[in-house]
Amino acid sequence: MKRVTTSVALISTLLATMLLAACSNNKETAGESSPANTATASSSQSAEPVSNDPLGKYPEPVTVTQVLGFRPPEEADALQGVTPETNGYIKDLKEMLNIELKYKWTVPSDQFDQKFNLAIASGDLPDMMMVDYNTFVKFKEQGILADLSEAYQNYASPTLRKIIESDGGFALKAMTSDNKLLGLASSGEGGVQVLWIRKDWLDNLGLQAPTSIEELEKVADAFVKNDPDKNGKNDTYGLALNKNFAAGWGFDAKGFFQSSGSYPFAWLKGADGKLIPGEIQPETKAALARLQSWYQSGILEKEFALKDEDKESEDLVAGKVGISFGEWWYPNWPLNLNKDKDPKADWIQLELPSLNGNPGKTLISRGIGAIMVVKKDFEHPEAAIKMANFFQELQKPKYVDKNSPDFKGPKTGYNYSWYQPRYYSGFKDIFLAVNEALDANKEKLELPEDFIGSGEAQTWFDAAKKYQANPKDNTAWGMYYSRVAKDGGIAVAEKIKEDKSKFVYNEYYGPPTPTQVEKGASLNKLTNETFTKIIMGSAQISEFDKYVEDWKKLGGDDITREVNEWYDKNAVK
Amino acid sequence: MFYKQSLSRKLFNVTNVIVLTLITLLGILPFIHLLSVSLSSNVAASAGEVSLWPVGFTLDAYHFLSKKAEFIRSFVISLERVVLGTAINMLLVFLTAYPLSKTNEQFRFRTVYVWFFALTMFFGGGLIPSYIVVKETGLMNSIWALVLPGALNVWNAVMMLNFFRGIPREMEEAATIDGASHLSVLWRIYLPISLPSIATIGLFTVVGHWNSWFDGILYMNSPEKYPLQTYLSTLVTAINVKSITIENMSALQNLSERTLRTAQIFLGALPIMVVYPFLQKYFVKGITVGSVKE
Repeated sequence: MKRVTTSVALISTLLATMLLAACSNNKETAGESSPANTATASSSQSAEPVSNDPLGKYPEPVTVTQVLGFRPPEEADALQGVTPETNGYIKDLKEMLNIELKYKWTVPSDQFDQKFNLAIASGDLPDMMMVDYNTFVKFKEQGILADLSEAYQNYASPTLRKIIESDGGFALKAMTSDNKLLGLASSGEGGVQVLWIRKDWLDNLGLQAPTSIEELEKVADAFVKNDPDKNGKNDTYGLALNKNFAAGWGFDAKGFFQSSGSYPFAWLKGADGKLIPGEIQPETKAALARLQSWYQSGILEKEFALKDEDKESEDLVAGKVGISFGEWWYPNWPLNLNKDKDPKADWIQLELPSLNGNPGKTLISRGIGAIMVVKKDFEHPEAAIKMANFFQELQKPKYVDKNSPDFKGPKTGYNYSWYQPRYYSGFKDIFLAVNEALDANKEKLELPEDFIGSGEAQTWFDAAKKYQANPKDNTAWGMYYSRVAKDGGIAVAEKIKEDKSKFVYNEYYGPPTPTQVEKGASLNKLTNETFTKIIMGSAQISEFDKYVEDWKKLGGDDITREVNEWYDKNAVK
Repeated sequence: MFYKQSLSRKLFNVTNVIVLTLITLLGILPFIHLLSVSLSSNVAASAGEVSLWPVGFTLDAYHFLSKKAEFIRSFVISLERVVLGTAINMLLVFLTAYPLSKTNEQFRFRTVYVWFFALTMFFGGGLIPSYIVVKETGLMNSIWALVLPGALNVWNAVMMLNFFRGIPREMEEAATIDGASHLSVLWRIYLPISLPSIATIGLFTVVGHWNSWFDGILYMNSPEKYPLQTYLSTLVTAINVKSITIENMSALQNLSERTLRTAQIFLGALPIMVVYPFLQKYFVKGITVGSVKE
């Protein structure tokens, strides 16, 4: 008898546990539908703004919650022990605007997406978020975003407006739907492709810098066969390439394809005004055929298909390869390490080579930067705009000059990279201002009070000074040559952007279309596999025609249709 | 020698040694490579010149690590987690396996309970419900969030249960006649006999706790609370971007600190490597000898 009672007791406990679990689930769904969170409770109704002052202080504290993905500060002299919560920006934000910024969580940038998706799924969102375009569209469709039009009109400071509207209203239009401004973002243009080449190797072999694909082929061939590093060993190859050669972030063949007039994974306007996918065009076939012949003649490394970007960078550092297509930032990494290893190494950058007399046109992808959105039920959407103004305020020259008594930088516990939202304008003004100061042999960078981007300018100027003082400092060289030098990374990129005959736009910047979500991954895999096989010679170039058929059949045609529908409806033209 | 040294036997021995050596090398070479890279100069490491012997020997990476607060902090958190987590796991495994190892006559509806536990081996709530449970129970951001979900490993409990069942019933009866309660039967008879399987399950648990990293990302709200493997994962995650902006330049800088990364990974793997040989003997016995000799 006793045993029976214990059993019954035990079983009922088990049942109770299950029920309890079920109950807490119910509670959760209830919590989700009314996301009144405790953090915002302290922002009271009485805290009405007194004026439309962009930096007006609230009479009562207003609490704003955010989430943050962050990296440790890059600056070597950053104050130790500062965390995002104790960042100087947050302290000043409270003092100047009476806004209390609270982080629901912070996570290293790499894991941000994962954690943020989890937060979205569990309905646990902060008042104010920085999101990408895809998430923005998702939120827009769910209708959880606040309208910022009024707040932007009334509160945005002149500096902020100048940055946001520097693209002629492209970003503002992209963020507006039904006359409501649902997010705030600046638009940017992706990197320009250039050709990096080792000048000391060219000189060793008595060669000229190549301006066409044909010349490049000759130079690369000489780099393979004629021992360009003069070490008596046959240990070099022609062109750096990694397995993500059509869509990687460096040491790839994007620049090569573009020189050949081929734009895989991009959408260009065709002759009939419709957008066409770059990977299935005849130019791509021709480019692949040439890569195949380069693979056979040893210009490409036999094992390129096994290396990712990180691995391929080792060959550049080790001095095994002296030509690479890529972007403006190479000197910053890994070319500086190559110079550490081999002091004779000397890299120059060239514009994309021409083919059959047609200049190489680089692809520029227009993109919306990080988008600031505010949740609909947040009572102070204007606080978000004020916070954006606040960041620009703290970028004024007197705050970013290390010798100024008002200096607010990493050294004094102000880490800008943890603060959101921050907007930047292009590099051009900074480039000009820094070079002007250097040309005039100034010891100190003097900028007008309303200069936009003075923090960045100060960093560039300091690096340039450091490089001038010690030309052997390869880290300083990396900063100097990628950003400041007149024949360096940004200078060449800006020059290309000024000449309309040297670039084309990627016309599609929308979210993945339904078919892309469903079939995009397998189509990309098909593309990569086919291209790799063709380059390595295990498939004939004629395979390309079959690939085009397959690509269209397996969803490519649907994607093309959807992309064009989006383009007709949403694109800012 | 019981075996005649025939040709075929010699051949077998040679092949055996070669195959086993190769498998051992497969396991050990990556660690030697890691160690060599961590002891090399950064330039040599970035140029990919280090294979199995350090190039430009230096202890810089380890010297730097000994002062790196993040590394030491997460190391301590991981130790805490292993100690606390293993203690809780083992206790719950004993307490679950003991009653369930009894017969249906001794313990009514035993099968129902076994199914109750076994069910969780096949069906789980999934990522998001688990996250919500941890959040709503207020465990977020504390070490309990790493220890309590999965505090009872049913698989281990079933292994323990089967081991207990192999213990002759006469021993328990003798103890009961001498006046022992269930608890003292468990503590004073069953556990001492079960040392091999305790060591086995204990090792699984320790390694499991030491190596798990994903829950750290899910349940901890700031990196100061990350256990070691979670912290390490943030170092080695490859950058995944279409093009580089000023904003993620620093990720590239991180890539060039190869020696530092490898030093941390090596130190992270070290404790388990040190513990393994000591538990190895139990490990083998625990698996193969599943019962007590009568």
